[in-house]
Amino acid sequence: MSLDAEPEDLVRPMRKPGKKYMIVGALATVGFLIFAVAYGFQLENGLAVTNLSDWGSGGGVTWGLYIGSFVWWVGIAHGGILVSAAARLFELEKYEPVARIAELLTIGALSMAGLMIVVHLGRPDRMVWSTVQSYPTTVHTSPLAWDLTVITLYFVMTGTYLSLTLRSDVYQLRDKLPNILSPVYSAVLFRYDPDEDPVAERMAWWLSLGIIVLAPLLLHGGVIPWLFQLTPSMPNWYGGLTAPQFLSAALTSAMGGVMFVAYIFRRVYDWEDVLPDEIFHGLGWWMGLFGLLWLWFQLQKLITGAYAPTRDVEPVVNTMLHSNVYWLAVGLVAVPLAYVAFQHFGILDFSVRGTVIAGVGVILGVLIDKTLFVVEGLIYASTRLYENVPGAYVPTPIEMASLLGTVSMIVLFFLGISKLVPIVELKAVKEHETETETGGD
Amino acid sequence: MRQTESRTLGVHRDVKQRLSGIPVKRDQTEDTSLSTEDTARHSFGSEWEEDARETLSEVEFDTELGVELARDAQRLSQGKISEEEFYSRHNDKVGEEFGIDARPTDPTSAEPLDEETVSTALDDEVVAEPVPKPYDNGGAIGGGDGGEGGDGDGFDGGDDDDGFSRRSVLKSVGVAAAGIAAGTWSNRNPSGIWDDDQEEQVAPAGPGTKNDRVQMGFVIDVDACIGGAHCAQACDYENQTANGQLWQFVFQYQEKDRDEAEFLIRPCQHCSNPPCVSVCPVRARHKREDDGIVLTDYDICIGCRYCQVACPYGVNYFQWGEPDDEKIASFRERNSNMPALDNEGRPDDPKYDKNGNHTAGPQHEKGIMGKCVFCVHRQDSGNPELEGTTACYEACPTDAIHVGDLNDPESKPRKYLEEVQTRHSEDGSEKGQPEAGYDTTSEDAEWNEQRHVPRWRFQEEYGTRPNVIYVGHQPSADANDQWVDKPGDYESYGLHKKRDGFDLDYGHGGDDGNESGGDH
Repeated sequence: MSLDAEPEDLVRPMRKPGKKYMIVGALATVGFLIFAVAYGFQLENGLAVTNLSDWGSGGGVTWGLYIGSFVWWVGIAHGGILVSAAARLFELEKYEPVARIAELLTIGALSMAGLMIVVHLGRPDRMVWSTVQSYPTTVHTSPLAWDLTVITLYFVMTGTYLSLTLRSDVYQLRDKLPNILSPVYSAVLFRYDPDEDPVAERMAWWLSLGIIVLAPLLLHGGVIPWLFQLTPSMPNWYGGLTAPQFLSAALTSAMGGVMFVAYIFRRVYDWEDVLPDEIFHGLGWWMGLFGLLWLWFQLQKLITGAYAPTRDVEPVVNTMLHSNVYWLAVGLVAVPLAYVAFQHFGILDFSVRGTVIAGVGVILGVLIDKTLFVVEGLIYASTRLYENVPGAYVPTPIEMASLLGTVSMIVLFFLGISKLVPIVELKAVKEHETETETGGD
Repeated sequence: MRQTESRTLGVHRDVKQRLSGIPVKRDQTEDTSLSTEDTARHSFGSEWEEDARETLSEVEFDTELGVELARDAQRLSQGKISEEEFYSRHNDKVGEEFGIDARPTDPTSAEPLDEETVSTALDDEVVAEPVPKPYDNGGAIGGGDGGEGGDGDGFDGGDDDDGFSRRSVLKSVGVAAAGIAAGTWSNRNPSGIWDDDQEEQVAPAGPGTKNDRVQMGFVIDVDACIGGAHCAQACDYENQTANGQLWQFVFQYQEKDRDEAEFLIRPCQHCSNPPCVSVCPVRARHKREDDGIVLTDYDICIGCRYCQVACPYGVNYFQWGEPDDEKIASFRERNSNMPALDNEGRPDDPKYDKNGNHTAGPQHEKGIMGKCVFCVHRQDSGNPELEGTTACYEACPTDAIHVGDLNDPESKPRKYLEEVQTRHSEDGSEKGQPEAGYDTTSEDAEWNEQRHVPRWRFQEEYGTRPNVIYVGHQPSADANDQWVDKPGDYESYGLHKKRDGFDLDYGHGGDDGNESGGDH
C-alpha cells in the first residue's frame, strides 16, 4: 500500500480551477437557476403549480416529492457525520481521509433538507416567526418541532466538529493556501493558538461520542421516521419498523454519497494516494451491510402485509408487491449489495469505479423508495370511504426542479468549499507519513 | 421490599401503580356505602404519603407541591372540592415549578396556549359518550387493560394512554408523576363513559346539572340523510370556500349486501383529542377554550400541511392558489352587520373570532390550511338567532344534523339523542338502554339486529375523541365508494371535488377531475 501522499497534495484542489471544474460549475449553476425560476413561479402562483392535492375528498397526496427528497437528504446527512464520528471514536484510521468529506456532505445535505422544507411550505415567509413564538409549547407535541430541533442540533454539532479540526489544518498549511483568500483564513484562525490543538482534539472526540450516541434516536433513527410512524391512520407509515427501515436506508445511501464525492475528487486530482482503494473497499462493505438490513426490513413489511393483513394494510402492501417502481427501488439496493458481496468473496475483482457506481444505484434506490413511501402512505389511508382514495400522484416539472436544484447546489457547495479549505484532514496524511517512515526505519 | 429495588424502577412502578390502581380503589369506595370516608383516607393515608414523598424526592420537582396536588386531586375526585377550586389552588405554584401551567383556569381566556390541556380536560367532561363500553378506568398508563370489551375500541379504551403517550412522551417522569398525572386521573370520570344515569356523578358541581364547560358538536342522524348534499352546498355558500374545499362533505357508499345507498355526513369532528392540534408546529391549529371548536389561525399557519396528514377524517383543505377575492368580499359583506362587531376591543371584521384571532371564513391568502370552523362567525355574531347554529344544520331538509353544546343536557343535539333513545328502546321508557336500541321497526329487521347500532362515532379507534355523534347505520369495514350507480354527484350540485389547479398543461387540470396518471 503506497502512502506517499504529501501535505502539498491536499492543497492541489485549491489551485487555479481547470476546464472541467468550470464546466461542472456551469452545469450546476444552470441546474440551480432552473430551480430558482421554478421556485419563483411557485411562490408567485402558490402550490397549485404542483401536483400535490388535498388528501380526503380531493383524493390527492398533500406531501410528495418535496418531503420524499427531504427525507432522502436528511438520510445522506445523517450517515455522513456518522462515518466521520465513527472514524474518530473507534480510531478507524483507514477512514480518516474521508472524514472531512463526510462532514461537509452532512452540512451540505442538511442544508438541502432544510431547503426542501422551505420549498414545501405554503407560507415560507412566516416560517421563522411562527415557529419561534410557539416553540416552547409545540416542542412537547409536534414531531415537526422535534424535527426542527434535531436538525438544528445536528447542524451545530457538525459545524463545531468541522471547525475544531479545520483551524489547526489551516494554520499548518497557511503558507501553501491561496493568498487571495487570506481574509477568510484570518477569520478561521481568529485567536488561534497551537496549544489549543489537544483541547480541540478532545472536544472533537466528545462530539463524536455525542453524535454516535444520539444517532439511533435522532434524525433517521428517530424524529424523521416519527413524522410518519406516529400517524395511526396511515397504515403504511404506522408501526415500529419504520424507524429501523429509515436508519438502514439512511446509512446505506450515505455510504454511497461519501464514496461518490470522494471518488470525484480522487479522479480529478489524482488522489489515489490520498484516498486509496481500501477506503472504497471498506465503505462499499458497510454500504452492503446496511443495504442488507434495509432489504430485510422490507421483507418483514411485505410478509406482514401479505400473509394475514388487516384491512387497512392490505391494499398498500398489495400495491407495493405489484409496483414496478417499488421493485426498481429494491433492485437498486439489492444489485449493488450482490455486487459488493461478490467482490468480497473474490468472485469478482475489486473495482473502485464499480463500487462507486453501485453506490450511486443505492442512492437512487433510496430516493425512489422514500418518495414512494411518503406518497403511498397518504394514498392508502385507512379511511377508504372517499371515492377518490386511493388517488394518484406524479410530480410536476416544478417539483422535479427542486430536486435538480438541491443536487446542483451540493455540487456548487463542494466546488466552492474545495477551493477554500483542504477537504482532507492534514492529520490523515501526516499519520500515514509517520507510519511509512517508522516502517522504513 | 421497595427499598431493595433500584430507584429508577421504583419511580416507574410507583407512578404506574398509582395511575392504574387508584381509580379501582375509588370505585370500591363509591360502591360501598359503608364508611366511605375511612376507606378513602386509608387508601391515601400515611403509608401512601410516605410512598409519594419517596417517589417525588427522586425527581427534580417540588415534592410538597406534588403531594398537595395529588391529595387535592383525590379530594376533587371525591367531590369534596370543585374543579375550579382545584385549579385555582395550585396554579401559581405549578406555573412557578414547571414554567408554565397549561391547565385551564379561566374558561374565557383567549390564550390558545392551553389548547392541549383544554382538549384533555374537555374530553374528561364530554359527557355524551353514548354507547356504554367497559372502558378500563385504570388505563392511564396501562393501556393494555383498557377497552377490551368494546367492539373495536381497544385503542380508544386506552384513551388516557393515548393522551398520555402522545403528549407527555418527552416530559420527564417527574412531571408526569407530580403534576399532570395527578390532574389527569383526578377528574377522569370513574367509568369513562356517559349515560343519563351517571350524569350526576359525572358532572362537576356547578349550576344545575349542566357541565360548565361548553363543547360544541354535532349529532347527525345518518338514517335521516337523503344524500342531497344541501349541507355541503350551504357550507360552501356560507363560508365562501375555494373550489375543491368541501368543509362539509357527504359520503355516499354502498354496503356489500345492501342495494340502497348509505350516507355519512362528514364535518370536522372537532375532536377532544385532535391530532391536528398536537402535530401543528406553530399552534395555528388550536382548540378554542370557549366552546371546544377546533380552528386554524390563518395569520400564523405556515402551510406545512401536517394537520392534513395527521387527521384520519380528511377534513383539511389547503389553499393551493390565490383565493378568489370576490368570495372573500362576499363573506365579509354578508357578515358585516354582526351585532358583536360593535363590541369594544373586537376587530371590526368578521374574519376575526371573538378572541381576535383570524379564524373565520375562508382562507384569505394562498398557502394556508383551512377546514370546517363550526361557522364560528355565527357563534361569535352576537345574534341569538345565529348563535348555536351552523349553515349545514339550517340547510338540512330532513333535520339530520343537530348542533349545540354536547355537555348541555338541554341542548338540541342532546335532546335529539334522548328522543332517539326513547324511540328506539323496546320498553319505550324515557331512558331506554342504548344497547337495546336497535331499530326493530325497520323492514329489514334482521339487518338491524346485526348492524344497526343507535349511536357511534366515526373512527374513534384513533383516539381522537370526536365530537360528532352519529345515529343510524355505521359503515362496515366493507363499505366502499367505488360503485357505479351513485345516487348523486357533486358537480350537479355546483360543487367541486378537485381543487383549482394552475393553467399549465402538464397535469392535474383544475376541476375536471383526474390527475394525469398513476404513480405506479
